[in-house]
Amino acid sequence: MVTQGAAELADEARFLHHAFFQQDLPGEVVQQYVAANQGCLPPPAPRAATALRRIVAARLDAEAIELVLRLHRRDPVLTKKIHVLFYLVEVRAQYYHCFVNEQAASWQAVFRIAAGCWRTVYKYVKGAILIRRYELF
Amino acid sequence: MSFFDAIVIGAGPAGVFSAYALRGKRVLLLDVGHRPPASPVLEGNLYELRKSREDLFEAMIGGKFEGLHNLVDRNISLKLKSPLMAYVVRDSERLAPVVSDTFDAVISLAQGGLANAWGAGVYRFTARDLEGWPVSLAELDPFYDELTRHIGVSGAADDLAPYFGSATDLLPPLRLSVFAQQLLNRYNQRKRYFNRRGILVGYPRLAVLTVGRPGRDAYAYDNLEFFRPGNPAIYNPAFTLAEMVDAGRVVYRPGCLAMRYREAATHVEVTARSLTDDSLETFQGKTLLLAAGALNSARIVLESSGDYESRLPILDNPMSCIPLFRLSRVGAPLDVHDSSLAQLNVVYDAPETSELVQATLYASTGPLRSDVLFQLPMSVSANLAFAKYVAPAMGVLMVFHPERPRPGNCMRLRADGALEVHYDTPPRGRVEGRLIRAFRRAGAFSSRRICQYPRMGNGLHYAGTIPMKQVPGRYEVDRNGLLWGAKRVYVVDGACFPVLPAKNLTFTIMANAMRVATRVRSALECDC
Repeated sequence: MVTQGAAELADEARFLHHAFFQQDLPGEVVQQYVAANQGCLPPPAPRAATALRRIVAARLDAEAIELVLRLHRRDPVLTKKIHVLFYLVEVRAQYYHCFVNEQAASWQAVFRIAAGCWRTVYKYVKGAILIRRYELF
Repeated sequence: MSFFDAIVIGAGPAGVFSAYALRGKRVLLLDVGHRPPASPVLEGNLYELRKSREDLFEAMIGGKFEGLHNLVDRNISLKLKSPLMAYVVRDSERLAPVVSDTFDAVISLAQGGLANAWGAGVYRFTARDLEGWPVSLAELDPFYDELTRHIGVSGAADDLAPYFGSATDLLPPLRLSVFAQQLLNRYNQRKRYFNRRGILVGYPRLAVLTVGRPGRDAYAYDNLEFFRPGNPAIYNPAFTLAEMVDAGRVVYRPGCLAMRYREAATHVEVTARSLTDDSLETFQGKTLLLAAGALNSARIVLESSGDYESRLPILDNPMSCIPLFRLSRVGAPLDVHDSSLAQLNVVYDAPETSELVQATLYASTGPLRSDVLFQLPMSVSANLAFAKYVAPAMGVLMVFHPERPRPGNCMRLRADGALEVHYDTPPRGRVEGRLIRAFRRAGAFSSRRICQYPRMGNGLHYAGTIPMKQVPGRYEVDRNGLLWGAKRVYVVDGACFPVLPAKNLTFTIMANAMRVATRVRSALECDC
């Protein structure tokens, strides 16, 4: 098992957040993410830790890689880290409308879900290529 | 040392209502008695709070990251993992350990027990449900009636009345979500189709006030059930306990973990561990009523016998979760003034099977969306879009199957104090498939492939460890709850249920505890 330092985890939080929300992560959430990883999640195995560092350093597509790992039931460490981040941002007012729809938006919903399905196919192919090319996990 | 007429162990539904029925007697109630945290306080509507408060980290995730529990540990109910609700199961793994590879035990040491986080479903057992019991419905009915008036039960006299019993004194039912109302309307339009297939749909019976009472406001449709403890509209046995303590009707001793008892010719002596200084204390009474929950009452009985070999039976309702979708509601605005309590009940009473199955429909507005992310085999962004736009179009049908004692399902007390449970998972899926097919006619779609079948133990309806029999044997009780071989020890909680119908058992636990305690009170008066 590899213990990740606070600076490394903070960098990881900012990178993952940008991958999904394309904006800066509030400092408070960075601290919460670091604390959650250090106090709650088990430290990653050496191979997973190396892969995580490579993903962050090369700014690889975390969503694509996570999808492939999850569908193939491989090391869930990246899924858990993204999941922690989503929990932390969901309880903030700033992100409310990312999670809750209060408008009548049937067509938008259909479009977004359909687009999500196509995006899944694209991300799956991309993730599989990235994992092979960078020898991740 | 004080001497009591009756000592009651546990302040859950059984303990509180046996103490309630022992009115006029000197009653000691021993309990661990965890209470909800005083802060932070959540008042208002879940969605208004989420929009107006910059950060709800303390209330929803928690300083100890309680809200992340299911990411790092075995899955527990979403209600039990929220930080303000975590007190419900606090210390249970340390003070009342259960080990099992096949059974997820959830034990509460809180004041009010698991009813702190219950769905508030209160269902009378019918004569059909009581088959295999040495007790008749006529003996329970007066206590059901008294409880209905005391706690406040909302519901309706609809198609389900034959299955849920008398509708007298019910409060009006809760307002339904749009999803549930549309489903009910479609059911009513196609009632013949459903009824031919043994499916009936109606309002749930809930211990939730739809009309305010002194000290208890009516339900406010605030969607906070997953995060806020002690909502006064949702009944909790701790309310009745507080009334009894205030009135001096019961001596309540929290911070005590009852370990064992010893029966003497004239009294019972209970040994309890103080949780403040770990010292052992003894209490004496004329009678003992075990109400610590099906698992812990059995633990106390076995520990008192020094028996680390015997295997006792155990029951829990096998359950499954069916997500249902109404496609016309995809992208509809979420009604933030909704309820995450039970919306509808479904009874499956098929002609080809003699067993009743009951299901409860819940809306999906209560938990955080993050709780359901990563459930679908899609990218995170696609999962997020799905969770955001499909929530108003989604309901979850929780299906409960009846259960009878089966030879492989048993528990024993180990010498180290842990309960060891083995439970064979019964096959499920047949009824689920039929319900899915039928609900297509109501415009709600699902698939057996996305049904979830939680491990045994997640039904949280534990029972049958010291069953009630007409002619009891060792580790069984008679029809009055008296433990075989004992003269002063009664079992009043779910432990004494001989079989488990597919219903929430809490209302019957309360009614049966009152029935047994009323007889104990009469016996005590005869002694005097």
